[in-house]
Amino acid sequence: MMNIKTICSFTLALLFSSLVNAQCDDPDFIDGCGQQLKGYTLLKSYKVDSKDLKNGKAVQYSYIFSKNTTYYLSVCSSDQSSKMIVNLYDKSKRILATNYDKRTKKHYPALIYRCTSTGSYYLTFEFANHSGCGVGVLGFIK
Amino acid sequence: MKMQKILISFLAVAVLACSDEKSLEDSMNEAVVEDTTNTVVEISQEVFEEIIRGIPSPLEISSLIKESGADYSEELINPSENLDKYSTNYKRALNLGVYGADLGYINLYDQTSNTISHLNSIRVLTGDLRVGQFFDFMTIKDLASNSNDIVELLNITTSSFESMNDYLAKQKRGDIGVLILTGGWLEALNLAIQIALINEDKALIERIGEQKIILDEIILLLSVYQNDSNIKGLYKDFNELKDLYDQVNIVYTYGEPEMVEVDGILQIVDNSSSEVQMTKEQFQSIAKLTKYIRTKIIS
Repeated sequence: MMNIKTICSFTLALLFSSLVNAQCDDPDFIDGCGQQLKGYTLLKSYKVDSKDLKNGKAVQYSYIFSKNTTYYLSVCSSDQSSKMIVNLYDKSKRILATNYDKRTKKHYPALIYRCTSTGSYYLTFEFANHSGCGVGVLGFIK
Repeated sequence: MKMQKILISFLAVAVLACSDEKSLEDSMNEAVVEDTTNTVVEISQEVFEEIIRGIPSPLEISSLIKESGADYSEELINPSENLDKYSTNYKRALNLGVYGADLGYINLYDQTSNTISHLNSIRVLTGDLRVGQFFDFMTIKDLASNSNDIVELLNITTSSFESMNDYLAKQKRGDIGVLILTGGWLEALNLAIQIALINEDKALIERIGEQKIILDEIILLLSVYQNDSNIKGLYKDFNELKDLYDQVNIVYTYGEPEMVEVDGILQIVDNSSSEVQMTKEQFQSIAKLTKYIRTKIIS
């Protein structure tokens, strides 16, 4: 009987986890996050799942930002208890911004960056509780 | 007991499914671009995909063209009548990129009649390349014909191209993905150059100089396929363009960034700057060679 309980708990946990992660594959979830761009034109979307992060480390993407262009970076987490954190680094890998203030524990849903120097920039995504899935969307406006 | 059996069966299937997923994931991570054409350059699948994802959208240049105040010019885009000329996957992929970049330019200027003809060309080429499933042509056509929401139209088109590029990279059809990207980039560059030759817009000329950074990335991607009989010539042409761009300097100055919160959103004020140093002669040489390569691609 105990075994059945354990298996049931494990199965439910597995199913719940699958449902949460399945939400990230739902086009409506991605579109919903894209809606937050509010007048900005979509450039890229980044689907991030903690299962794919090696040893829980942040996943990194690069993008060539152009001078005098304003970029909008929005993040959406499927699980509100584990919000997605995005960090923006310049071409020399110096941090420019993060949407999570460790000191105040404040989480911002979006970053706006007016680029003043063309080059490769780096975006890293991770989760506050090291688990979950989410979507980051990058848009631009001139 | 029956319930127990069902759960055990479920778990067994789940474990098997998980192990399959893991091996697939591992093989993706460990994969290198296959050396099917005696290529010299090998980069990991992960790096390859990251470079592709990092190349800016041609839309950014088209948007700058519009901001420069230039009028729409139909003569600058690749006519949809050229479609019949593209009978190899090499030409189809390059010109899918070209038509894609043109579509962004056309949409920004709200030129519905050209949108429909270019959409048709894209539909044919994506069908021939077996990537048509990523485009909802009916919705795109409806948005182009009946909607005033240009951003929505641009977003759905961008999203379709993005899904297609991801799929091609994961399906080890990276050569097709790289050619689409290359065609799109060169078309946007040529559009910007042809406009800048007329209006001499400073911001546009600077953006053309900055393409040096993107060209380096594209050459890296093309180098993977440099021994492919079709790509060999394109790779050589792009290296000649690189030789010209190597004479262009970009000077960077670092400044500490600042962050301010405005209406609950974090805004970054970057105090760094960059400056492109490109002479008129260098610009004209780049313009001439870009047009030459573009003519070869669309012919």
